[in-house]
Amino acid sequence: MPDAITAAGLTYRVKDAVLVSDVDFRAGWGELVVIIGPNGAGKSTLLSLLAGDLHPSAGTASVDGLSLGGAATAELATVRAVLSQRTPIDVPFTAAEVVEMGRFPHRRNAANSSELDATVVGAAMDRTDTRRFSGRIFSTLSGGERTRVSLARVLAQDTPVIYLDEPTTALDVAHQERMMRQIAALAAEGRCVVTVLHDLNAAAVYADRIVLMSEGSVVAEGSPRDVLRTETLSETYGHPMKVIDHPLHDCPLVLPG
Amino acid sequence: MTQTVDLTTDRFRGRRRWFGPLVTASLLAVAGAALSFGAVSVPGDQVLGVLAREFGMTAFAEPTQQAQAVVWGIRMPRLLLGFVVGASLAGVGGVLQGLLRNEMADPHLLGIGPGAAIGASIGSAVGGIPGAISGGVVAGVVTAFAIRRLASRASIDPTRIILSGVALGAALSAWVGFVVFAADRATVPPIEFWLLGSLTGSTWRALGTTTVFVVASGIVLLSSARTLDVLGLGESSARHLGMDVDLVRTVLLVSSGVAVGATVGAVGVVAFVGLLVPYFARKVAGPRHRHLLPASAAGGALFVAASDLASRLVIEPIEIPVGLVTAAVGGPLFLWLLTRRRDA
Repeated sequence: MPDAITAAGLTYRVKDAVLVSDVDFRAGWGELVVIIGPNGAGKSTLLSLLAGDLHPSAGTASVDGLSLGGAATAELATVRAVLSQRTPIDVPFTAAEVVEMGRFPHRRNAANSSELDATVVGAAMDRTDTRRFSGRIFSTLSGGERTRVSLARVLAQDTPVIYLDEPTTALDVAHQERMMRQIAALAAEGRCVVTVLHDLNAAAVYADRIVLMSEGSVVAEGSPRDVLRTETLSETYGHPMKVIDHPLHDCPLVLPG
Repeated sequence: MTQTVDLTTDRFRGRRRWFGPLVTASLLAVAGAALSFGAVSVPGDQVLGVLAREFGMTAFAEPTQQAQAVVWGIRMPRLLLGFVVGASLAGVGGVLQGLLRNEMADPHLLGIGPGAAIGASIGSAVGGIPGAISGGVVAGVVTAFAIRRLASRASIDPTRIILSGVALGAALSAWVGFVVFAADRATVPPIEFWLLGSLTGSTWRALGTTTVFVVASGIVLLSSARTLDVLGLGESSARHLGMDVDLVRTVLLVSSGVAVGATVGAVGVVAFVGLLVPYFARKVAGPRHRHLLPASAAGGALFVAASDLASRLVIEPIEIPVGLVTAAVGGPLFLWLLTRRRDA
């Protein structure tokens, strides 16, 4: 079985600015990798490079054995799904129709959806608790509901690798927790999940591995206990932080000072 | 076991159920009126008699020679060309609106129509009606490629593409004038034919040539319905779902250029059809393109044929350009649709 994700020397330049600089990245099957870092650190750019949305200025990457430079867009869509922040709001389709579009890579030519599609879509909507508003128009949903519907679409794509860009940003605390548990469960089922997060404590609880970025480079990488340290975080974020033991879980707890 | 989600039905199903029969009945009514009414009035049984004899039957009244010439030689090709032009413009309007994710997209507003008119007017100087249609197709495709380039530069902002198209269209319309005034007036139709559109003098030959181009491109456009749906999620999500967005844009714009160019070569630029009809069709058939595009095509056929009928009858015996009718009716109707409370 090929590695889930491998990347070496990834660099992305726009004119004179270097957004991602010489990043090596690996992620294995069954692993939840969380990318954290301050605004402008290059987290989303790195995710876009790993997803094949952007072509690196230098370096190589492959997902499930597919080289991102050489793979066709259609082929790539069968190995990785992406929950991006850039989904437009003014989508005229219902939630169920949007989720069903996740089946596009699997039946590009057939007009009618199959039994399998209906089952996969149903399962994806149950998992994300979105079946209740399956008939509502996407554009009339709240930000959190839209995110969950988009996650259901990602699940319906049914790929071994999943990328998520700040999936919890628009969610309330309860749905943040739900979302993180779902993400962790996806990894536990054997998929490889890579997500960008701002919530350091969600990263602490759920990540198998954390990648801390700053100014386009990886400054620390490892288990939550390895990366989430008072000195490392205070320096990277330019703000005093205090890291203590989490009272409920076996992991660190980050407190901004 | 997981419950499935019913993906075959949607909230527009009820509306579509009455829309189909209603449009069919309206098309038949317009066809009957168009074949019967005009400077020479042909009674209904004579019209049916002509049709029966053309299909090798001897039913209904024995038509006079004049009725035969008027109904089959003049009005029938004109009626059918109106259907083809309307279906093509409205269908392409629906495609472009999906492609640009903007309900204000229209083949003529984007400049494809005026661009095609330049090629068509040059073509008509060289090769008459077939020359005009071929010239329209070539110039329509070229203009669509020009818009494709604009779109790739400003891919984030479809509004800019439409504004660019408006500017492009205005400049290209002026060039149609230069071609027409420089050309021989005996062979090239006048400026108002090209820019206002007219079905006067439609021939079976023009109908046949136009239909070939429209059907060929129509097959490509209709088969892209699901692709257009997925593009509704935005370019970035469409790529994530495995769509080659650049290829899709090129194929759809070229097909649109062919379909629009052929109609412009045959009848000139008929305004508002591509803008108004898909907007209305979306309210009836819903946003999914496999329903929206056929509904747009049917509605466009009805709109153009009915407008052409009006253009012949309003100031009898003078025929006004059909584009004046579509704009005079379509403009206020579109404003009403836009300002109405936004529901379904």
